[in-house]
Amino acid sequence: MEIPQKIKDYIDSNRLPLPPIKDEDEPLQIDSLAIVRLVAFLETDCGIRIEDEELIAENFANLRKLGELIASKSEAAEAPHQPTATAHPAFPSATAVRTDTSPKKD
Amino acid sequence: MLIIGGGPGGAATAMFLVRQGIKPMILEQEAFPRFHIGESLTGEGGQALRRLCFENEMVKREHPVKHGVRVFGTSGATSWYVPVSKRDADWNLSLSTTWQVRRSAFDTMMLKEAEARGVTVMQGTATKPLVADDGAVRGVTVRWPDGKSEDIETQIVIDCSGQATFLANQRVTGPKYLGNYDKQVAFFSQVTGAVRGSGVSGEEAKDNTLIFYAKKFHWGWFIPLDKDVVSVGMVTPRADFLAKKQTPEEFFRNELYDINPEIRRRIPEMNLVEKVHVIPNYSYQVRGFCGKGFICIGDAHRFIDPIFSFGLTVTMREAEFAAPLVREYLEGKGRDQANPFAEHQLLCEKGIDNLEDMIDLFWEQPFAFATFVYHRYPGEITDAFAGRIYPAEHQPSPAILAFRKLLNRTRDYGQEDDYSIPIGSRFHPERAPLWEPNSPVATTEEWMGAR
Repeated sequence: MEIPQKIKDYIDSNRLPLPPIKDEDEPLQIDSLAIVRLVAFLETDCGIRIEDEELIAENFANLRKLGELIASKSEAAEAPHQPTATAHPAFPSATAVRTDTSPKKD
Repeated sequence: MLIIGGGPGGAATAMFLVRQGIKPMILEQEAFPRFHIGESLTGEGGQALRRLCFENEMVKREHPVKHGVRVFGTSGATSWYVPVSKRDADWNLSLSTTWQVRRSAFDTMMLKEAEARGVTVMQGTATKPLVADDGAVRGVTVRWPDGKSEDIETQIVIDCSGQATFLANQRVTGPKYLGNYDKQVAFFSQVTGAVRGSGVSGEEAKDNTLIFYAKKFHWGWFIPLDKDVVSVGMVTPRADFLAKKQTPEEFFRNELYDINPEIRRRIPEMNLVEKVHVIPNYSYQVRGFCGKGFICIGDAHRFIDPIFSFGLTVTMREAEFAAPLVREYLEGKGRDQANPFAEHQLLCEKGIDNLEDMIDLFWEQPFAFATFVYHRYPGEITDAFAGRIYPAEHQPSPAILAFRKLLNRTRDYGQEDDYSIPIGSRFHPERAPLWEPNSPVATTEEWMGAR
């Protein structure tokens, strides 16, 4: 999936002085805390909820992986009866805090 | 009644008991002051000290003021920070401070003050518990410094013997399990000339705790002890040390800088002013650590990974919880019950379980953990770091529940056999899944090193 320009811009600005990413298989080359901030940006500014289980390095390795992650969210949004969170019956209160799972369109 | 051990757990228990109108005896085998490790308090540890009216004394003695904990990633270039915090009666969160303590001086202050408040302190070694036919502990055999032994009869024995785990080793309690963190060794000393933070508060405050992450189970600490001296330590797998065939001091001097580049910046010269100590950094958990006539407190029943300095806090909080229950027991309450302190035992287990879940997640999934600290659950993680870990403190919080979910771990407290189960124990068939080669991220090291 093509990554929205807004997210590309965010990543490029966070890997300065490296040049903007051209190849979607190129490593993002941003440090771990920058990826934490990227998660915050995706959730707060782009309305894309990243599940706890998705907080693994592989999902943020390059633009292709990130695109796949975001695409999986869009598919879920197109089928609104499919919850994006994998609810665990033993943890109702853990899933209850996930109130922002439906992506909003920019 | 008798308290075994005159460390901060024993002294705090004694002083909280004095507030209940009880003047206990403390049995301590060592002459104080003596060296001890475990030099940092959390927010709630500081609050417990304040409740024992030590704030003025702590300020007078110029103990370094801790504003928070800063954790550096592998490269040393990035860090995350958790401030010391407190909650008011309405559970509003605000920033707070606590203290770093040189244990030789702090422990002596606590024990002397306990004595001043009416506690009897005796030097001697508990060698054997006295156990009645019904299993109740009714005292201990003590060996005095002159070599003579004597039986001391008491209604209740509080085990504050720390890692000596007196009652567990004497098999008065249930079994003692080895936990997850049992293959590391800690090397530590004290240095002068270290580079501290440049600020007066917050992340850059000069006397904060610094933690240096290297890779899974490899880490270092930096804890200011006074205006000149900083406690510095590193934890590495035992096998690494054995393979090098060096003395502890050689190994410490050779390996410390390799833990994390930030350590070299912080400690430009290794001016060691204390010998290099070595202790195995092993975790354990004692089941059935309360019963008729006995309660184990703090390290006497459980020790988990010491990375976030919960030891002093947990022991003082357990001391405070236990004191009123001890008074009630002495007044006759619960004498007919199999375990008069079952509720207290469960409360203590739940608290440390919450810490264990947090620390396990830190090691297993550092990226998810950092995201939780900064973005997902900053308030809840601040609570846990402060030591607000008990059910009355809104625990387990959504953060702790999220940790458990990621660890694929459940904590069921429905029946007696469901709790106190040492989740991480090698000897437990249901140990939590650990890091494995087929995990989504190959290794923790790979993640933290990813740039």
